[in-house]
Amino acid sequence: MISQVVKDLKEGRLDPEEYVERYYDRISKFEKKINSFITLRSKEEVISDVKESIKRGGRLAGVLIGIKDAISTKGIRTTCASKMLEDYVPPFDATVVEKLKREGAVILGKTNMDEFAMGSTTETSYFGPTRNPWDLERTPGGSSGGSGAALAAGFVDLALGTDTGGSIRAPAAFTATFGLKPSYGTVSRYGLVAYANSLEQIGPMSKNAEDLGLLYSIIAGDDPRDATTIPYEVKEVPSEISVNGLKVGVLKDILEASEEPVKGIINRIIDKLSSEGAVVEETKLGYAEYALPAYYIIAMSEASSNLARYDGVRYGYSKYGDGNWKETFSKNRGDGFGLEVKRRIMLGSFILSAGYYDQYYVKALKVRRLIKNSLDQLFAKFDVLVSPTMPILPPKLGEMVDDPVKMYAMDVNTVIANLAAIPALSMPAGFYNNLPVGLQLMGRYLSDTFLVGISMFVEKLTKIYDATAPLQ
Amino acid sequence: MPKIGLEVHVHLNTLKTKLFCSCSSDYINKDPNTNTCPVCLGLPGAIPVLNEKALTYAIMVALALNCEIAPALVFSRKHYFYPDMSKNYQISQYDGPGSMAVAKSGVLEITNKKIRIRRINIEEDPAKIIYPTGSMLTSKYTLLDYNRSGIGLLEIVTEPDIESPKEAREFLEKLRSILEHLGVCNCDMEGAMRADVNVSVEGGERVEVKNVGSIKDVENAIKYEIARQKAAIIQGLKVERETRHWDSERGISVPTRTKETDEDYRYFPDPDLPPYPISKDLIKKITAEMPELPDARVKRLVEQYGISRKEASILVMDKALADFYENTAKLYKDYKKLANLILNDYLRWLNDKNIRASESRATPEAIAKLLSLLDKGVITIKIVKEVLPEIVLKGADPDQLIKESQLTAIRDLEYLEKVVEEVIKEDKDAAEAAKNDPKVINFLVGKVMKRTGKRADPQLTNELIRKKLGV
Amino acid sequence: MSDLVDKLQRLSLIDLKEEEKERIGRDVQKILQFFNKINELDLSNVEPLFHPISQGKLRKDVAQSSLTQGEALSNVKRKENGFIVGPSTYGD
Repeated sequence: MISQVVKDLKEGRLDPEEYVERYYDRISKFEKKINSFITLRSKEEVISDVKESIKRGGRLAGVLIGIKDAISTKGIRTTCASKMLEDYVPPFDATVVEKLKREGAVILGKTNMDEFAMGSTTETSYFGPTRNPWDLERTPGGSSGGSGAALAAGFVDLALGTDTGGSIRAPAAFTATFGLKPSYGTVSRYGLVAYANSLEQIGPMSKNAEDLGLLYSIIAGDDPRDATTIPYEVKEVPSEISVNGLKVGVLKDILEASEEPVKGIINRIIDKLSSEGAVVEETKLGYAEYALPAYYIIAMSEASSNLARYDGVRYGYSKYGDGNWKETFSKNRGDGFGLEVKRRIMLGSFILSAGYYDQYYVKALKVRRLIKNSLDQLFAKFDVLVSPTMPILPPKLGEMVDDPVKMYAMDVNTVIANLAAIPALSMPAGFYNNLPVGLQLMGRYLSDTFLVGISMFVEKLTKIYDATAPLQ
Repeated sequence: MPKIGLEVHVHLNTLKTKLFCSCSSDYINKDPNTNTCPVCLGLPGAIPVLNEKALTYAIMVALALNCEIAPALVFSRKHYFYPDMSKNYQISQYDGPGSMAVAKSGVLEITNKKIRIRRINIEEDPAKIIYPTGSMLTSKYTLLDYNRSGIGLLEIVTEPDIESPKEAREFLEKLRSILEHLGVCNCDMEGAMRADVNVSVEGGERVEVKNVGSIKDVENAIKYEIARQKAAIIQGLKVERETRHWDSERGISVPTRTKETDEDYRYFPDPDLPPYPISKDLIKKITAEMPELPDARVKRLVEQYGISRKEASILVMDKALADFYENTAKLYKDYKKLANLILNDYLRWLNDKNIRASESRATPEAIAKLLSLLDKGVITIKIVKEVLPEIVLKGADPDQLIKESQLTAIRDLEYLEKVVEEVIKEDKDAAEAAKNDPKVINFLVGKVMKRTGKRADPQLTNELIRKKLGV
Repeated sequence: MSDLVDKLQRLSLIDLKEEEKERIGRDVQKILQFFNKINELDLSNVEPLFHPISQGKLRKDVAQSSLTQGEALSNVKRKENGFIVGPSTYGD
């Protein structure tokens, strides 16, 4: 538990140098095989920061944290795993980073991800794929795969990820870790390199439920620099909530569409919830099969707009300078972006272009409305909805990345929460042949601490927490 | 009748900060790129938050132009790639699903006519481009200064109701007065108001002349375009849709060099800026606190100072001038005389020298003093005209001036008589002619004035001459 | 299809390499088919959900310190006397 680490560091029971060495030791042994970091800070700097931080105090004083490389860190390279930003060093911190620093957290490094967060397996990174510590031939999920893998490999105990369509939850599910996609508007996006603004949130990732709650309580809150945040504050760290008497809805269609091993594990958990007094009922989410295309239409449209700024002039890849602006920009962008990013930008531009705007974009927003209404109806009846986080076991490297539509289909369970702005949490549910399977909990808008509280109860049932992959 | 529409871009230069970030709005004459932040520089991860004063300003202008105000403030992204665009999209407003202009369907009255306002938008300004060789055609690269990037603009678009260059000028002068009275724009500053001018004549299509920088230029551009288009049609040529650029120095419009591809701006509502409700209460509050508008001020000036409607209108057309009048009126109570001086000698001189009323260094005290000296007979009206330039350009004190240059009126009859005699003796022919032609008397008065350094009292001099000639 | 890919290159200002053009051409077809699923629904009476947050916020008109010139230019590859060097704007 991080709170214990903070205490031990503060009260001298844990030596800061030993504490930091422990992680760097594992990193030096295994990081080459995993590739979870794009930028790793020097041990000396980190030790110095940890000591400084313990003196100043804070709820995370001295704690090491991995930060997904889509989140701006002042003076530390922030690449979004793209050649386009390979040497970009932000002159400012994201709001969440400021908050973490204020509470004494120390950045260990920037974690690997799919390029510009576009992917579900961390295979589109310009810096090479991240491997799943539980099975090095497989992906750890994406796009926050670096954070998930770093946690599972024992390189770090806390991490930040970002979730646009499942990018925190997929890695959490595939690495046996905990991840929360917060309710939209509860965590500031100022400093988050945008992929799809109306869908994404920065969220906490951890090895157990209590740490998840602690990290969330620190990063959450209204930000005057982000017009999409709401008046919100997590005053207390969430505490455990029993499922006894809770009305739990099982999303049957989604469960049925999963691979057998996944189904088996999730059904076992659901039984356990029943025996603990939860009132479990099967249910169905209306319009669920339209969620995926609607999500991608919206995400790609917003992406095409957000990535227009990358032209090499003010920052970023800028090999070409002769020729007029159209030639120069086209060449820089052609070189700097990877294939998946180019695909999404071009499709996004197409969807927003004259004549197609109503046909795709506006329609997708209508589907979004239908899905939100559907969920509102379900939450009138249920306190929490459960499903597998992912329909499959962690795929092998190379299995998904060549077929875009197949890759997009991995997100089928997770995009719902992003479309409806509701909170969704993934926690370890079990293992199949040593491959992790995750359980997804979804709640009403602003029920984030409620979900964390439930996960604190459920982790005692699964007995899977603080799980570190056995690396040789 | 030609059809003319204007798209006026107004710099909200009285805001303290930019539109979507807290950078100072004081960007003119600063070293390049010293007034930027992640937001206006378009750094990855930076997102916009609207300046609340900008909304107040937009609503005030909408109220002053009798517009319908939108129920909520929403913004759209207008996409186009250009080196001066920090995000390669401009945050603006658009009429389409999910977005709308902050105000629409208004009207501005000029003499005998109502010009309809189609819409008012809030939008941001791009960076400044400098061409190293001075010309876009020959520069192999551009120099970019993002200090201006993100500065707030209001875009005011009219229906094509304007039918002549004169009407366009009147419209813009009245609009400028409204903007100044609202305190929304200091229109004298460089680049404060620019217009895109759309002109079509019968038988031809609409031509847009972009980025015309002053009211005078707009008038000239319209004159030029009407003539050019009419000439083309008479010659049997087609006037097609196109965009042109106004060359102020040469007084002509030229076709833009870059090919005008039909830009697809791919507008969509900006997901970083959820709608902000514009409640009836907010509008009420703003209405109650709105400064006096030009039309209301004209009425009041007529009532309060007893000047004519025409006089009041000319004063109010330039807020600084009207302010100056009223401030001086606190000290000098012959309002009509004051209006006379301000509107004739004072204003005329300013216009001649192309000086704006706001640039004048004359103080109300100085003018009040000047007029009371005139009343007391210490100086003549000619001397007033003499000293006005010093007062305007250097803020000189009239007492001081008159003492230094010994400009007091000469009323000494003995002395004047002597001068008059000399003048009559020198120019016997004129003296004869003067017996029959009063105009020649003025000529002789002029000669006396010259001899006395313009200090002779013209009235007295005139009388003396008549007496001497027996007229 | 290659017309479409060319149009998309122009719209997004991205120069594709030859191999990429072919791939993306095929992918775009597939993905548009995938998108067309939503056209199965009758959405005529549904209001689009443009913003998950119903109300935005404003900020006070108070200046705060900005980046120094050095910070602003710290990631710029080509600069001249404090200006950022950009491409020419002539021609098409």
